[in-house]
Amino acid sequence: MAVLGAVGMVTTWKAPAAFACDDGANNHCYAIANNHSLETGVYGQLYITCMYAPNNVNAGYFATNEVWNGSTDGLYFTEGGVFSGAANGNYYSKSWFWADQRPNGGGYHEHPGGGTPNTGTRYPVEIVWAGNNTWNIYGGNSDTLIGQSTSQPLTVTNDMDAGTEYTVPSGKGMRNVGSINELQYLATSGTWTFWGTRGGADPELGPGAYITPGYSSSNNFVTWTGPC
Amino acid sequence: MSHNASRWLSGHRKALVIITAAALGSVPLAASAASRTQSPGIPAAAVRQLTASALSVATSGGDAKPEWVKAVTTTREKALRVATPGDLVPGAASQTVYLVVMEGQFTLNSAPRPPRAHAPTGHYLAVTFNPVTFQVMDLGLSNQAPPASLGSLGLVSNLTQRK
Repeated sequence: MAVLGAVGMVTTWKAPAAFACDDGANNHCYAIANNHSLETGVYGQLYITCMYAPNNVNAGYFATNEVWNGSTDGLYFTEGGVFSGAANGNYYSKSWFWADQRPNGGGYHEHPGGGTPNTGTRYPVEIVWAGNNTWNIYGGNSDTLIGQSTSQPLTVTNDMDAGTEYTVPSGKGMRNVGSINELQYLATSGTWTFWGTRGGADPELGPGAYITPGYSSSNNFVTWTGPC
Repeated sequence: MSHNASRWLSGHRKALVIITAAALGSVPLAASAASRTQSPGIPAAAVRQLTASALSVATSGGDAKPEWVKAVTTTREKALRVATPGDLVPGAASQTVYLVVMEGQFTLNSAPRPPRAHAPTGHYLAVTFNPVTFQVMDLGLSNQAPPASLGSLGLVSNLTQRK
């Protein structure tokens, strides 16, 4: 499948559907744009048109609007944004969260319950290098520091993504339309720069994925349109 | 806020946080004299709700019957050093939480994560709960035992014990 990377147009991918987004360990679905480069920060403005995952704790249904920063092998990462759905025996209508993972004794960490955002509002979210193997996560309704992830080496974090992750199969009641605007990376020189042609839409990821991402290299946003 | 203003703010926040991180880095993780002060035990009235909440998290992690489940009342700041070592949350020092640690065979299939990451697995699941709402505030899963004992934080409640 060819990459559609023309400047100034919204590019999309389409993959055949099979199985379901929630049917196993590695079967979450995604509609995202990516920027695979070694940088020191990722910034975007979350916009939620609609976002809802049914309250099904057993199935673990959820949807997000978020950014990720980490290693291409997925061993190291930090992420921050808005979560809707079931997690750890709780249900969140819409809630700010952040999470991270690091190997070698660190493990997986999650911090839900950071306040409730509104639909139809742009919210900045940012993951930025702070030195000493530390990344700061900014977000929330007031654009504040919501967490710090330490022991995350800079040299392994060469993958940033922005978009939605979801575990609700098609036809099960999820509502999920949104975008992440003003996508920027913090270059190692210390300058914030728009993603431009460094970014690109991923294909629909996950078995049974049914939301197609679109990326605009001229306007630096990723958008997705699921049920609403 | 304009883009430039936002970036300016970001730069200043970065500088502030580097200072903060440096300051925090100078704090030894070993229990200080103050942190050795024992917190009160978990009220009996809360034990039933906390046990149910903890087991709900365990069940969602794929092990409804952990080997053991222990809990303590402490500050969120101290709890984070046990539950999510390496993670810092602003304002955590002034928040009281119930910290629950359990041992079992856990897989967090529903954990949010980037596309190339696998579902987290581990033997030690540590969770902080809001003592009023019993909502999960923080969660950590690791194959290694927590870096500090619960007994160093306060009176330990044994919520369930299979063996």
